Amino acid sequence: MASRFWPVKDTDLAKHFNDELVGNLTKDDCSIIGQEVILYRIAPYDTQTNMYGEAGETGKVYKAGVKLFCIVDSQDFDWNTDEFGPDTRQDVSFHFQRDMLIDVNFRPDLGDVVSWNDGYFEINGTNENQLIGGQTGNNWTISCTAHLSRINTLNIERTRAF
Amino acid sequence: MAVVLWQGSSSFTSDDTPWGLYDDDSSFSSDVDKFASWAARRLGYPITAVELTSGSFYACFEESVSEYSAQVNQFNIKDNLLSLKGQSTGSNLTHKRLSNTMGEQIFLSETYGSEAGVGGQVETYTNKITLSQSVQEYDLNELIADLSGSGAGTGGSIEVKRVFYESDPAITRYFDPYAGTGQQTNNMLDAFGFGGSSPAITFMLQPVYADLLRVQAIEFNDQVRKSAYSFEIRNNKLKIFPTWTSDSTGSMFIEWSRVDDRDNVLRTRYSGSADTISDISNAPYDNMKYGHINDVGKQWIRKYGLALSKELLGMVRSKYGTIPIPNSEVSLDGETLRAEATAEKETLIEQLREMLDQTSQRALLEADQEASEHLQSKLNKVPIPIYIG
Repeated sequence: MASRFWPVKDTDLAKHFNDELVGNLTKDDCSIIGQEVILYRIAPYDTQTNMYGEAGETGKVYKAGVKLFCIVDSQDFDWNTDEFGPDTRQDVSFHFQRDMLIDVNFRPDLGDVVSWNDGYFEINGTNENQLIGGQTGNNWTISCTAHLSRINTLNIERTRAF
Repeated sequence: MAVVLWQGSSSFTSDDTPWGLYDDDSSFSSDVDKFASWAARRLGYPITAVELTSGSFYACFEESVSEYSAQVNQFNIKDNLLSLKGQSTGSNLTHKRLSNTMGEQIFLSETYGSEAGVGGQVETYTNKITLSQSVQEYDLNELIADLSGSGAGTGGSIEVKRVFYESDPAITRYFDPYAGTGQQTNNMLDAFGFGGSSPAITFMLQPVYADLLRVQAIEFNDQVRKSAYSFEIRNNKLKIFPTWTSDSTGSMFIEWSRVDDRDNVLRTRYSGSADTISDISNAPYDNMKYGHINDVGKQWIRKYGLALSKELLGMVRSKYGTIPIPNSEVSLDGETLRAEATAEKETLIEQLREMLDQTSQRALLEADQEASEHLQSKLNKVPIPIYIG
């Protein structure tokens, strides 16, 4: 049951503001912030595993990407140089509006890969703790922390479809 | 549940406004959709969404027309109230030109007339008091106030207006029997219509002031040398001077009125005057007909309606201080919109009132007088040609 504050009507209005600000998959209107990412869900049944349950020689297999709107919070690049040469690292957080994901029946999870800013980021953690008005029914955000991954470890190939 | 927002156009049907005051006016139903479209664009549509519905714009437009109507009619009532008071409340005066009357001034003057004994609405009664020998004091409560019945005090307070306890008029003693007779007095009596003179009598012209001086001399003599007729009223006791000395009873008349009648504020002039205009609350000015308002007024209505729409949008956007977005919060422009709308509304009201004040009867007469004086001053500077005959 909705509380006195943030009843369904107000929540819907806030969602409308989010659609206008962040973006909505079902609307053609351009949003004000408009940060787009492509999320690739891992396909566990298509991924071959070895005796340890790890991905086999063919690596992980991902499903077709889905375009989503979110708020991206990226950290600065971190350069690490070791005996193999320089390596680029970057941590990025992707914050999705939960209702938008419910509308498309989609939920990011650990191991999924997000394509953003010409890079691929593997999700290493999720958080759902933005409770509007303290109401558990008003969980507003699914936040995903991810790290930059090498493209050669992913079975993802960008096609003209995107 | 989808949020209902402004969709870019609307189609007005009757009863779409909250009050339905102007829904039957074809001009209103034609303009209200245009207003909604215009106001939405002025609020950012279609670049940004406007969180108002067509019903919101309709309500704002209706209120704006009513506000304009109220402001103008308030001014009309204020400007015409002196002539309106006491008039029937049955006639609708909206959009009507009124003529000034003296009705209220005369109504107010009647109170003074009552006190002065020259008209008014307070009923005056006359009682006869029987004077008895050697009785100097008479109790007015006993004789008038406490009596019941028509024309009596019936226990209420009375106010004595006049006491007819006076000596004979001096004019009746003008012809002093001890002063002898002569043509002069005969002629004087004839001039006053008292004479019975025969024709061919001698006439002599005599100024009126000579008669008045003589009358005054008689009255002054009575006051100084005689016991002048007078009275005192203290604690409802009427004391007469001099005391009645005749062994036969005499009569004295008293004119009085009831205090509650004098102080009655709910006075009606006639039986049908109960439902008359008393103040600004029942002056029969109704909402204006939208179609009768000129374009000057309609422009004010549009701008005020826009301010109302902006205020409403501000209320929608500022119900919560911040709106959640993924992992953060944003503040919308609701407070700014409300502040702007408040300022715009105040400015529009102020401008309208100022304009109305400049068109009051007094202001127009003053402006006309000023223009006349300027014109006269200008004409005075025109060289006057010298006429050579």
